[in-house]
Amino acid sequence: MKKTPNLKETNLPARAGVGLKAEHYQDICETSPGIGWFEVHPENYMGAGGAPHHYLTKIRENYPLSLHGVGLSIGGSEPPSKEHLARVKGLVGRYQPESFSEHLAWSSHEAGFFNDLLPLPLTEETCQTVSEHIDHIQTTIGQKMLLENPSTYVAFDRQDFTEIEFLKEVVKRTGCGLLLDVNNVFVSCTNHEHDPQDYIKNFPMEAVGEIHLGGHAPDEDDLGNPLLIDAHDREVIDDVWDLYDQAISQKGPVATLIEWDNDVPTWEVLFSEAKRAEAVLEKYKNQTTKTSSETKYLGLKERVA
Amino acid sequence: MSKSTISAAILAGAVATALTGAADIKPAGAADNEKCYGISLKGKNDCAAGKGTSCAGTSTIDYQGNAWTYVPKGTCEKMELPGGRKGSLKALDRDNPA
Amino acid sequence: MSEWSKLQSSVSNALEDLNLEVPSGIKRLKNGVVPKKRFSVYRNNVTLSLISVLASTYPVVEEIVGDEFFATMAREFALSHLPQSPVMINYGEEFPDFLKTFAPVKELPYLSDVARLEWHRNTAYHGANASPVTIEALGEYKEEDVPNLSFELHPTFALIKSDYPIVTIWQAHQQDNPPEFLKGLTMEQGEAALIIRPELDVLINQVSIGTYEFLQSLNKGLSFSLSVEQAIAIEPSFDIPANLAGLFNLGAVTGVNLTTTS
Repeated sequence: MKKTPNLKETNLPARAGVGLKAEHYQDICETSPGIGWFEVHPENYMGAGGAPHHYLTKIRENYPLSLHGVGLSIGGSEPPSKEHLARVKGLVGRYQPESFSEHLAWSSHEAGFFNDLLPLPLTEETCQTVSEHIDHIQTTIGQKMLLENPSTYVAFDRQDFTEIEFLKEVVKRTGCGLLLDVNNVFVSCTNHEHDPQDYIKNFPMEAVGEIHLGGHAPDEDDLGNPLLIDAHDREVIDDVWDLYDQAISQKGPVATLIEWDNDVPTWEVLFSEAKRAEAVLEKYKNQTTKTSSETKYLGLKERVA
Repeated sequence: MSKSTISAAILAGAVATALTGAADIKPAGAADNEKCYGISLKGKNDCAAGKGTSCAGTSTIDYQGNAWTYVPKGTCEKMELPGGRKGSLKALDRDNPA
Repeated sequence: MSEWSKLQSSVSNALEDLNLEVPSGIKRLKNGVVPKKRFSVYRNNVTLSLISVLASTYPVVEEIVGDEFFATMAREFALSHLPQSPVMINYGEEFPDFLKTFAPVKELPYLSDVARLEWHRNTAYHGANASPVTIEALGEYKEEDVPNLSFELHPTFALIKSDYPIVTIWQAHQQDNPPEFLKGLTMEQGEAALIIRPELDVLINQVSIGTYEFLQSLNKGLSFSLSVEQAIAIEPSFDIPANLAGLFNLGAVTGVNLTTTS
C-alpha cells in the first residue's frame, strides 16, 4: 500500500456549527445566521438535483461545510462499496468541504445495508482493516478524514485494544484525524461502566479536528442498569456540557457541532444550543491549541506491530 | 393502425393558437389540480438511533405472531369501494391470510 | 474467512432474523446474562429507521392505513427487502409492488397505485435539473415540419395511470383532515397524472385520458402528429392547443427537435 502525500487537510473554523436539516433551509437562507459552519450527511445529497442541492449550494456559498458520512461501513470486514465511495468523491469534488468524516462502525454486509451504525470488536484484525479502509478512502477523495468514536450498546468477548488505543493506532497508521463525539463518550462510558472524564483525559486531543455534541435518551438494560441511547432527539445534557468543557480546556477551541436529528426543533432552539457551545469556545479562546509531534504519519507499511 | 393522418395545417394551426394564448391555457383537466408544494422533504439518512428505539425494546415481541390482528385505523375508513364495501380491513390472522 | 468476517455474518443474521439468539462473541452481562435488550437496540434501530424512511417516502399510504398498521407492514417489507445501497432516498422502490401482493391490504386495491404516485413524487423531487424551453421555440418551424416535431421532456417527467381515483385520494391527504368527500368517491373512476419537478417543487397534475396518451406517446419519442393521433383515438374532443400550451407552461419541454424521417 502506498501512502499518498498532499492529502487536503481538515480545516473547519474553531466555532460552533449545526447539522443542517431540510426543515431549516428557509430560515437559514432568509436570516443568514451568524453560525460558524454546517454539516450534512452526503447520503442525503446523492440525488441528481432539486431542492437539496439547490439549498446546499446556496448555504455552502456563505458557510464552511463538513460532510459527515454514514454509509461507508468502515468497520466492516469488506472494503467500502466502490459505488458509494465514488458518490462520496463526487460530492467532495462538487462542494469542496472543509472536512470529511465517518464513523468507527459498520452498516453493510452481504445481505445489504442495515441503516444503522453497528459495533465492531477492537482487535488487531479490525484495526488493520479499518486502517486499510481509511487509507483507501483518503486516497480516493484526496482529503484527510476524521474518524468518530461511536455510541455502543454491546461489547465483544475479544478485545485487543481499548477504544482510545484503537483510535490512536488507526491515526498512527493512516494519518487520519479524529472526530470526538462527547455525547458518544458519555453514552458508551455509561453503557460499559467506564469513567467518561478519564476517557476525555486520555483522548489524543492533538488528532481532534471536530467535536460533536448531541442529546441522548435514557433506558435500562437487561439487568436494570442504565443504558443510554444516542437518539439526537433533545438538548445536550449538563453532564455532557461539563465533559465538553473539559475537552476544550485540554484541546483549546475546535469546531463543534450540535446534532439534532429526531424531533427536530425550531431553528431558534437549535441555534441557541450552538451559541452555548460557542460560549465555551469563547471562554478558552486565548488558550493555544495543543499540537503534538508524537503523532507522526507512519503509513500502513511502516506500522509498528 | 391506419388512421388518417392529421393534417399539417391543423397541427400548425394548433401551434399558432397555443402561441397566441400560451399564458392562459393549461392542459385539459390540469387547470384545477395543479398544485405546488413549497416544502423540503426531510433527509433520510442520519447517524442517530431511530426515534423510539429505546422504548421499542418490546416491539419485537408485540409484532410477532398476531401482528395482523391490527386493523388499519387510517383514512381508508372514509373511502368506499365498488359495491359499497368499506375500505377497512377485517382483522387478519398473519399465519392464515385471507 | 477471517474471524471478524465470521462474527460479522452472525451479527448480520441475527439482525435480520429476530428468532435468532444474540450471537456468541457478543459479551454476556454479569452472571452470564445474555444482553438481549442491549442487542435489540440495534435490531430495533435497523427496522425502525427503515420504517421511518418508508413513512417519509409514503406519507399518504401511512395516513390511509394509520401509523400502527403502516409500521407493521413497513417492517415486514423492510425485513424482506434490506436496502442494497446506503442512499436512503432511493430506498423502497419495490414497496408499491409489495402492497399489491400483500394479503392484509388486499381490501384496499388502490393502495399500491397511491404508493406508486408517491414513489414518482420522491424520484421527481431528487431528479436531475434541466432548463425548459418556452413555447416560442415552436414559432421557428414551417407548417410542413410541425407534424414531425418531437419533444425532449424534463428528466423528472413521469406519468401514472390507475383504475382508481388515486390523484383525488392523494390530494385529499395534503391537508390536515381528509375531507368528507372521500366518502362519496366512486372508486370505479380511474385517474391519471403527470408528475414533474420543473424547478424545486414537485407538481402533480391530474390529466385526462387523452392527455395521458398524448404525453405517453411524446415520452416514447413519437412525433407530435402521431402523439396527437393517439390522444384523439381515445379522446375525440382532445384539445390540441390547450395541451400543447399546458405542456410548455409547465416547463415540461426541454428541447424541440425535427425528426427528418418520413
